[in-house]
Amino acid sequence: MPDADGFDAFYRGTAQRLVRYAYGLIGDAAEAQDLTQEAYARAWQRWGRLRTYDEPEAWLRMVVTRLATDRWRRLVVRGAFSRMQPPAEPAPPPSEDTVILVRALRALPLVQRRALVLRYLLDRSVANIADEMDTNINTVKSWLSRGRAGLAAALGQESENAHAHRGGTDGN
Amino acid sequence: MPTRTEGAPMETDLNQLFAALRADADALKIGPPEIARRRGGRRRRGQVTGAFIAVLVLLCGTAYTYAGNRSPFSVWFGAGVAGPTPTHPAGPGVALNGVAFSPDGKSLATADADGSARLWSATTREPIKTFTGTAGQAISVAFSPDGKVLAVADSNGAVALWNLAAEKATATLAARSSGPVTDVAFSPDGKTVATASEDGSVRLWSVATGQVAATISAPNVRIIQLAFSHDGELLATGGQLVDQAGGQSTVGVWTVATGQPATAITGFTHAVVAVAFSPDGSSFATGDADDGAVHVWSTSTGESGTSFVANGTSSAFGVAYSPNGKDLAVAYQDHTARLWSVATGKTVTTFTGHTDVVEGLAFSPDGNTLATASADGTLRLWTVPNS
Repeated sequence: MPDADGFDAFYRGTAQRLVRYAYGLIGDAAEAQDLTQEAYARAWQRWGRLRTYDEPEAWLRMVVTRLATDRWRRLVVRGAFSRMQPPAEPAPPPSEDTVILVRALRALPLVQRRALVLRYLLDRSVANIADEMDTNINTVKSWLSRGRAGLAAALGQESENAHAHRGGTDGN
Repeated sequence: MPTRTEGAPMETDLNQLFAALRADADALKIGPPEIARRRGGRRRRGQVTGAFIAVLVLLCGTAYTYAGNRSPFSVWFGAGVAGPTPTHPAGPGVALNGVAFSPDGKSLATADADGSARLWSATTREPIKTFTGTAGQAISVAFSPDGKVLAVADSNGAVALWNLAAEKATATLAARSSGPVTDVAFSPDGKTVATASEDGSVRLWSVATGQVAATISAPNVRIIQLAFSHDGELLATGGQLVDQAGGQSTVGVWTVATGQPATAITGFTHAVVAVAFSPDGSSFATGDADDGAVHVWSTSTGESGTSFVANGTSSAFGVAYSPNGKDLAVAYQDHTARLWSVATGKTVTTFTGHTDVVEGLAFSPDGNTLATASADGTLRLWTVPNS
């Protein structure tokens, strides 16, 4: 199977973007790697049909979104994955900025998180996001705006806490 | 246009943070495509036919449901489904992973994602009692046949047996390093509790001693769901292949007394996360996590007979036979539950109202009510149309 009907090339061309999407959505590097692999495994099963889609990547993102939001599936998927794979190459520790942002993202509703991740990590246009999320442009704009406000509030809180911490007595 | 609050970061700061996240994400290693192909296994055959049938069944099912619920002929289609009765057992945001009816039909138990199991009155729909569990999730609940004990499986790998009258845990069944317990069931005589664990084995525990009496293991299969036949002699299991290339079937039937396969089932590799025996024990049904199909298997031959296909993209997370064996209820990922006629293979009713995945369902012992538990945090009771 030299290129498996173009699957391998598709994988190599898109996997890094899908991991980025998964990471933004979930906020956990190992889990993002897990779900990305699982999404491609499913894509492979349906590759005959999927390869004819205009945007197979959008299908993959949908699978990742579902896997990420479905507790039961996650339980199933994670267990299976950890058993059949050598542990994924451990990720380098995330930067401080990433840790802060991921924590703030996690507190947002899923639709806002998805919209923000598509906008800021995948550089999609608002119209494009509206298509993918099956809604209109104004709704996406509202999600993005509320998402940013939510992030700003969470980040403001965080810096306040950090400030209070630094301002307080050191040690116990 | 950034929304600004006092002291909060502006758009430029957000851009900087997202740039950091992007850099960290792009530094993540991803395996070669071969891993995804191996994990995905063989590509599906007969996709066109399958899709065609799925669409056909979907159309028929939709038309049927539409007719049943809306048309003047509704009475012919056994309509008259009462409106759903949502209750919020654990409060908003706490997903429900499973549900069981008590043998007398008077109460229900739910397995909640906050680690608790909750007992509910089926008549008043009020909470009766919360059994506070571990820090993990409650995954599955089962009543003992005499209704006196509730078994609660949790994601920390233990099963607690709660004495309902005394409101205290009488035993904890825990195997070392088994991973989350994914399902629990009482044998019909109440003497044995079967548990499926993430480590792939099924343990048969003696309720009297709290010890493992027997272990069932299928090479290369992680057993996720199980069901006893009503005579207690057989156990049907569904699971997931550990390695797609390694063969084996994800569905199995076992002789409880020996822990050995009772019937050979070959060539079925889809992930199965729902199993139920028909009341007469001649067949059992499995719900497919890969494509949402429900297959009915002959207990004696291991052959697959009728399949119920709702649509091509969903997953089936729960199956239950009505007590008279005429209907099969299925919980779906697409937020619905459906009632299928076993005889005709057609949808009798589609229950819509949940706003998230339906994780589990159970019939009342009289068959008149179907309870569905959802990740949306609600338990709903539906009136089952007379068939």
